[in-house]
Amino acid sequence: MPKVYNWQIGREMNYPYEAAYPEKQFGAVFDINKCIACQTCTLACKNAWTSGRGQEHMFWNNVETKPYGSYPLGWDVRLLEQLGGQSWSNGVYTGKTIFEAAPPGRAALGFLPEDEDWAHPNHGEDEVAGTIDRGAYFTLPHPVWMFYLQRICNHCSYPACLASCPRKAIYKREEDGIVLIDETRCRGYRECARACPFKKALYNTVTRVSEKCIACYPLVEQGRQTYCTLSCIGRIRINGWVHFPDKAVLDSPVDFLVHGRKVALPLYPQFGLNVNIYYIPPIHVPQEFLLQMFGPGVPNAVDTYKRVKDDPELLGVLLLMGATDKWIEKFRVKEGFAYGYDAKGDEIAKVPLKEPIYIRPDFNAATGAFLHNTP
Amino acid sequence: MTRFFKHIPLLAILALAFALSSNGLALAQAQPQLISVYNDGELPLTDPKSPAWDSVPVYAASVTPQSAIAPTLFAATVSSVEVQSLNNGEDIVFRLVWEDASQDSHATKPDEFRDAAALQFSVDDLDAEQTQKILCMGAAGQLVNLWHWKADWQWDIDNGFRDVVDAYPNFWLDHYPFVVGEPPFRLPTDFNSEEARAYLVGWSVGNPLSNPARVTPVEDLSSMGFGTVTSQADQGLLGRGVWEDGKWYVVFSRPLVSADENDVQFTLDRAFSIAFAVWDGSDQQVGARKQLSTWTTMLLETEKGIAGPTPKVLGMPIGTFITIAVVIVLVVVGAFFFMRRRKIA
Repeated sequence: MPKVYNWQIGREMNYPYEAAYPEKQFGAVFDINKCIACQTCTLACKNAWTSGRGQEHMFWNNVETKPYGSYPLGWDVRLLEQLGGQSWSNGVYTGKTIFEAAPPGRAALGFLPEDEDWAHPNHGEDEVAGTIDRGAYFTLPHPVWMFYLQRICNHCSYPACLASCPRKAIYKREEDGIVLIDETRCRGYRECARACPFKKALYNTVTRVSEKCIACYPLVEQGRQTYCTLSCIGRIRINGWVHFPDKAVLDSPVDFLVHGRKVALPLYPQFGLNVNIYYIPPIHVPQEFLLQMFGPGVPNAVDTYKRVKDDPELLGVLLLMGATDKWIEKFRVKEGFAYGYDAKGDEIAKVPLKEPIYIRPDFNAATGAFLHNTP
Repeated sequence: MTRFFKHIPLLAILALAFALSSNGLALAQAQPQLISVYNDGELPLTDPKSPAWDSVPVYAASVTPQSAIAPTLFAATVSSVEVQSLNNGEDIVFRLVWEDASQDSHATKPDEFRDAAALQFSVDDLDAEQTQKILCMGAAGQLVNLWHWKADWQWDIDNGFRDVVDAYPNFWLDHYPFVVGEPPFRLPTDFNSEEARAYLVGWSVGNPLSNPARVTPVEDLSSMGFGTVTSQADQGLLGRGVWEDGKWYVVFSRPLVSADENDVQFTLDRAFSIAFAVWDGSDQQVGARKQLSTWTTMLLETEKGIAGPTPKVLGMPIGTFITIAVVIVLVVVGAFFFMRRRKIA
C-alpha cells in the first residue's frame, strides 16, 4: 500500500492511493468559542442543498452539543472505540489510523450507521458533561461544561470515502480540493458512508445513491464563501485556501490561523484523513477531552487564543470572520484595522480591531429632550 | 476403383477419430455445461413459476464469497444457485433459484440493502484461457455483459415506487421545492417537472438507479474490469423475481440477437461463457460484497440439436479438415490405382 505524508499526525501513513494534491485546497476555520448553536448554518445549508425528497435526514452541516450530542448517533465514539487506544509521542501519532486499522478486504475501519441513528439530529442538545454540585462556581476550565461542534465534510486530503469507493465515483477536484460524489456513477453501495469517520457521505432514500457536502462549489468558483460560513450570525467561520506546513502562506487567513498561530486544529487527526476544516478549541473545556478530539496542539492553541488581546494580527483575522461574503485570499493588519483582499488584491473587507465608542449626550438640544436608556 | 469406395466410410471414421482426439473438442466436453433447452413455442419470459420450468434440466452452480478485491465478502450466506435456460430460436430466458431465508426487497432506508442476482457473459467468443482472465467483471478491451436483477426494482414494479412515506408511515413534510399535489406527496408523479427533479439529483442527471419510474427489474450493464460497471444506453432486458418459502425464483430474458454491440449475441456458431452472482440484502451485501461462481460453458439447443462452436483440427474447422483429408486420401489412392493400371498396361 502506498505511503503518504500526513502532517497532522507528524508521520507517513498507509493510504490506498499515491499522494496527489490539488492546485489549491478548500479549507475553513470554525471558532468553537463563539458558536451559540443557533443552527442558522444548518438551515442555510438545508435550504440550499438538501430540501429535496429523500434528503429529509440529511444535514450536510450540523451543529451538535459535545460531549453527548452526535449526529448520526455515536458517529465519533463508536469509531474511537473500534480504533482502540490512540497515543501520541512528541507530536507524532503512534497509534493506528483508520486506514492502518482496516480489516482485511476493507479500505478503512468504519461502520454503517443504522436507520435509527439518523432519527435524532438534536440528541444531547445543551446537555452538560456532569451534574452541578451545590455551591459550585466557575473556574477555567469549567468544572461542568459543554460546547458546540459545527460539522461539515472535511474535504480531506486523504478522504476515506474516496479510498473506499470501489467504483471510483468519488473524486477530489484538481482546482480546489473539494471532494465530490459523481451522481451519474454512484450505485448506492454506501462504502463511503461506512468509511467516512465523520459520516458526511449520506444515502438518499429515494434516489438510492449517496450524496455529500459540496462545499458550495458554485459559490467558491465565484470567489465567495460557503452558505454555512456567510450565514453565520456569530461570525465564527472563515473559508480560505489551506496548505501543508512547508507551503503555508501566512498572509492567508486560514493558513495564518492553522500554521502561523496554530490556534486552529484538525478534528480527530488520529483518524488519518488530513482534514481541511480546522477548529479553534473551546478554552473552557478540560483539556483531556480536547486532546482526544483535536490532538496535541490543544495546549498551545488555548494559550494563544487566551492572549488574543495582545496579538493584533490574530485579533484582526478573527474579526475578519464573517466580515464579507467574499473569499479572502490575503489579509493585513495596520493602524488599528484588519483588511481582507480578494485574488486580484482588491480590498473586500475592513474591520476595526477595536469598535469605536460614541458617547451620546443625555440632553438633545434640537428637541429639548433628555434621553434615557430606560423606558 | 469400386474397391476404394468401399473403404471411404472407414477413412471418414478414422479422420473423425483423429479430430476427436485433438484438443479443441475434448476440452469443450470436459467443461461443465449449461444447455439452453430448445422449446418450440411461448417461453416463460417473465414467469419464474411457470410449469414450463419443471421439465428443464438444472445446472447447479456453486457460488463463493468474492475475495479478489476490496470490499470483500467475509462469509457466504448463499452457497449454490440452480440455473435453467430455455430458448425458442427467437428469445432466450434464464431462471435462477436460490435459497434466501429473508426477502429483502427494499433499499430505501440508509441501512437497507436489496437482494439481487446477476448473469455475466463474455461478449467476445474467447477461448477458455482468455475467458478465465476476465471472470472478474471483464478486463480492459474485453467486454462483459451483465444482467442484474434487483429486488427493490421488482418491488417498485409490483407495488409502486417505495417512497419515504412507505418506509416511514408517520412521515410528514409540508413542502418540497416545485412539488405539485398534496402532502405527503408521491414519487414520481408529484415531482415530475424539471425544476422539482433538480432536487433529486441522481434522477435529474440520468442515473438509472435513481429513476423512480421503473420499466424492468433487470438492468443491462457493461463492464471492462473492476469498478467500471456501467448501465447500457439500450436497456432491453425483461425479467421477474418471486420470493416464496425461503427461495428466490428469478427469470431474465432477451431476444437471442440484439442490435446493441455491447450485448452478448446468442448466435449458433459459438459456445457461451456465463457466470452467476447473488447478493443477500439482509447481510448488507452490495456491489463487490457478493457470492459469485466461476465461468460455466453454455450451449444453445436448436430444433436440430445442440449448436455450438465447430471443433477445430490443426487450426481449421473439423468439416474442412475431413474434406481435405478425404481428398488427399482419394488422390493418393487414385494415383496408386492409376500408376498400377499403367504398369499393367
